[in-house]
Formats: sequence, C-alpha cells, structure tokens
Amino acid sequence: MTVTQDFALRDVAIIDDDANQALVTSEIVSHAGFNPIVLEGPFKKVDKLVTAVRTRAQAAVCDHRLRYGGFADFTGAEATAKLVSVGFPAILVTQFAEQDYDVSIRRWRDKVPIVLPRAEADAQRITQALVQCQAEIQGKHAPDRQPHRVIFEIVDRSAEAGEDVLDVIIPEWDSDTAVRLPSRLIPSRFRRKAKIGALFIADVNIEAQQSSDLFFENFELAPPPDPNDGLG
Amino acid sequence: MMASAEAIVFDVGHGNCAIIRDDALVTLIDAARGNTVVRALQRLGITAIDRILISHADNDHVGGLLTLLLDRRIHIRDIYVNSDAEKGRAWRMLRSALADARRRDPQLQIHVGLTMDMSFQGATSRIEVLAPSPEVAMGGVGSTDLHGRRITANSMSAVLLLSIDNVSAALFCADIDDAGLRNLFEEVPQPRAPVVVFPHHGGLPGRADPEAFARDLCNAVQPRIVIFSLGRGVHDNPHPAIIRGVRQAVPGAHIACTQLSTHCSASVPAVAVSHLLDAPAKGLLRNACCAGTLSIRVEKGVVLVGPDLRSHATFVTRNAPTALCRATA
Repeated sequence: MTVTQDFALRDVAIIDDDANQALVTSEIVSHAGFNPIVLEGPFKKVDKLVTAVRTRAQAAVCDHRLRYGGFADFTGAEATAKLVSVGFPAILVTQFAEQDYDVSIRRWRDKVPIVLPRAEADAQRITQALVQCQAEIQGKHAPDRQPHRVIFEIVDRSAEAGEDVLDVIIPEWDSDTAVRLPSRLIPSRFRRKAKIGALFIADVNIEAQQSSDLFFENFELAPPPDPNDGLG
Repeated sequence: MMASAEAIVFDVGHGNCAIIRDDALVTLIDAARGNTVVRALQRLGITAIDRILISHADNDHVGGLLTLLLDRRIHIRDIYVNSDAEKGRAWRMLRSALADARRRDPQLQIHVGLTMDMSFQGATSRIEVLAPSPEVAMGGVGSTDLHGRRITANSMSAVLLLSIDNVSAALFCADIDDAGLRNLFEEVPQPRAPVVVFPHHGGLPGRADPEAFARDLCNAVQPRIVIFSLGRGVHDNPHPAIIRGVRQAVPGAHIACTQLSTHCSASVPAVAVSHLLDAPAKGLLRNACCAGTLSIRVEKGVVLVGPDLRSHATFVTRNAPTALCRATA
C-alpha cells in the first residue's frame, strides 16, 4: 500500500519511552511507507527534544506518557504541541487516552490536532492523521477543529491525579454534559475567579463530537449581566 | 423588480433555525446550538442580522444565540424573546453574552415579549406572531391558563406565520405543546399554511395523545409539506404516532425530516447523497441528511420548497424504503 504517494514527508520520528512499543510503532510507520527514526532519550527539556526531532525527521509520532521509562519529564502532548506550534507535523498516540484526555492531554489539545488511541493507530490512520495535522498547520482546520467564541459556566472544582480540575458546561456544545479541564488552563490573572458558578468566555471547537476532542484557548471573564437589560 | 423573500430552514440537528432574507433585511427564527448557523451566515455573506426571534428559551432554540452574540464578526440589531420565569443557567449566560455584544454594538436591543398580534414587516414578507396570547405570556411558565391547563415553557412557544408576497408560506411551531396549541386555536382556529415546521421536532407534545395532537394540528393548518427539524438518533424522533396523526389529517402531504431518523433506516447511506440543497446542514458531517436544509419561496403565488421534493422522495425510496413517511395512516 503506497499511502505516501500524495504525502511529501519521508522520515518520521518515533518518540516513546517504551523501546518495545517504539519498535511496534516503527513497523506500522514503515508499513505506511515512511522511514521511522526512533529517538533515544532521555530529554530533560522539551525544547531539546523538539530540536532533536526537527534535525532528524520531517514528522513525528509521539507517545503520551514518557515518564515511566525515564525518557522525559514532560508529556507527549506537550512535545506534540511544541512541534505543531513551530509548524512541524506531529500526532499523539496513546493507550491511556481515556485516562488522560481531560487533564494532561486537554492542557495542550489546542495544538494537538490528532490524538489516536493506540488500538486504532494503524498505517492508514497514522498517515491520515499526519495529513490532517499538516493541513491544520497550513491553516485548513477541519470543521471539528474550528474554534468559536463561547461562554461556559464552572459547575464543579476538584482534583484529579493531583491536579486541580474544573468541570464546566458549554451550552453551545452540550448543556447536559460537563467537560473537565485543568484549572491551570485558565490564565493566572483570572484563576482566583475560577469558582463554581463563574462564567468565562473562551474559544472552543464546539463542532467536536466527543468531549475528549474539545480544546480551550483565549480565556476571558464573562461580563456581568446589565441590571437594566430587561431580562432580570 | 425586487426579488421576493426567501426562507431557509436549516438542518441543525435536534433544534430549530431558519433565516429569512427579504432584500437586505435578515431575520432569524430561533438559533439552535452548534455552528451551523454561523457557517450559514458566512456562506450567505451575512454579517448583520436585523432581528432574531426566539420562540422560547430551550437550548435547542436559543443555544446558538449565545454563539452569535459572542461572535465579533456578527452584528445584531434586535432580539425578541419571551421571558423565562425559571431564569436558570441558560438565561444567565444569555444576559452575560448580551452584555458582551453590547460592548461592541451599543445599539443592540433585546425586547422581552414575543406575543400574538406582533408582526414584523419586510419589503415582500411579513411574520406574524400567532401565539402565545398576551394573557398566556403574562401568566408565564408555571401558571395555568383560563382552562386550568398548566403552562410550560413549551406551551409558551412563539408560533410564527411567514407570508411572502401576501401568500401564507410557512408556519413555524417551535415546541408548542397541547396546551399551547389549544390556546392558539382559541385565537386562530385555522392557521393555514402550505408548509409547517412541526412542533418539538416530532417528539411527544407533553402528556397529550401524540396522534391526536398531530391530527388536530394538521387538520387546522392543512399543510402540503410537513418539516421535522430533528437530529438522527436524538430522542427517537419523529414519534411514529405523530406521523400517523399527520397522515390521518393530510394523507397526501410530503413529510420532510431534515435528518434521517433511526426509525426509518438503521444506517446512513454509504455514499454521499446528491438531492440536497447546496447549503450548510449539520447532517452532512455524518451523511445523516434526509431532506437536509430546505428553502421556502413563493413564485407566482405558489409556495415552493427546495430541494426538489421528488428527488427527496426518490432518496427515501432507495435508502429508507420502510421509512415512517412512506406508511399510510
């Protein structure tokens, strides 16, 4: 299957703290018609990894949990986001999607166009994902990645995996389903106002079908209602 | 000669949204959540909306208003809405979004009250509010009407009659339930229109018998075309009893669901369909459109609905041969 005929990339970096998994991913990437280049850690800083990847490859497939093998102290989501931010196609592949969507992946989701559950990461999907990532880098967002300015309410505040998290309702997406995000996504100048019942405005990709695909950026405090608007 | 007004009823999934363009005048009837409305406005090159008429404050009718108010590219002049007595989360957010929009457009006005005897005139069109009556609106959600019927938010849905070139074209029924319908009939016994956007997306009308509700509504309106603005798989709409009631009253009417109901087909078509109007439609994302987005216009005194309804009928025959709309009463 020559899936790379319409795709100019050739060398794809494999970023994974598990050597065996990196080998499996390499085989899949090779089957897709690319040349896999397995990166060897450790990397203390994400910028060092970004430099290493950019000097050796033209795209990257990145695992999310990089700490267990001592590969890095940052997540794959952060690494992927940093790569995409500099115009480098990168996708995230993880077997911990369900556990990590709401917090450690959400934190970087605006710059992570594609998150593939590992069970779905076959040659065709990886190729499609890299193509879609490249398109988004070029400004061609898929409809479910188009952000819209929306208003949301904080309905709960708690902790998950040691991180402060907020549960919010975004009526323009779904008024019956709360979405969880790490409170550190809220800019520090607003964070003390991030209490239950508070209203915020942010850009959110409300055409996403799944909560896991939602990202948030450009936060603002929602203005208080005008007491004279006649709706009180 | 000035072109006549045109209405577009959008496939927004479970919800309602229609845009009426009459020369330069733009009116929106309801704004379901999601970005189909915004995409539609972009596609039509519309950045200014003269008036938005919100039938009631349920999220599938008003959720998109938040998006429009917060969109810095869109400028709105007037909004008409009936007050929501519950004043819950949605209402609070609406007020905050309104405050945000007014920072950009200080002239934006929101009018509390969309009741019978109000009307909105355009160059070639007229929108009349047939319900709720001022008396029902005054009682508000949670009250009882003069007959002891409990008034809910759905009971207070604004029902709007669109006329184009002095021809009754379409009746927009929002989510009106049986109590609201009975009150409507007391004021307007025969709200005739060749096109009806059926109440509540074809779902149950409160506690009333759905078959009788649909029959009574269609007997009064006598539509040629019945539109169900629904989302595939959402609340199992349209309810089969509703369709039976429609068929009993108007057996020859063309039934057009915006999306393909799960009652009609277990799966969506495998290939892209070709009968749809070239307009934004939420069902396109999953190839779940049935009739999709629809246009309503008047030519030489005749109300026409696009796309070609015969093509729609052919689509149903080929892709959903056991569809609810194909069953007789």
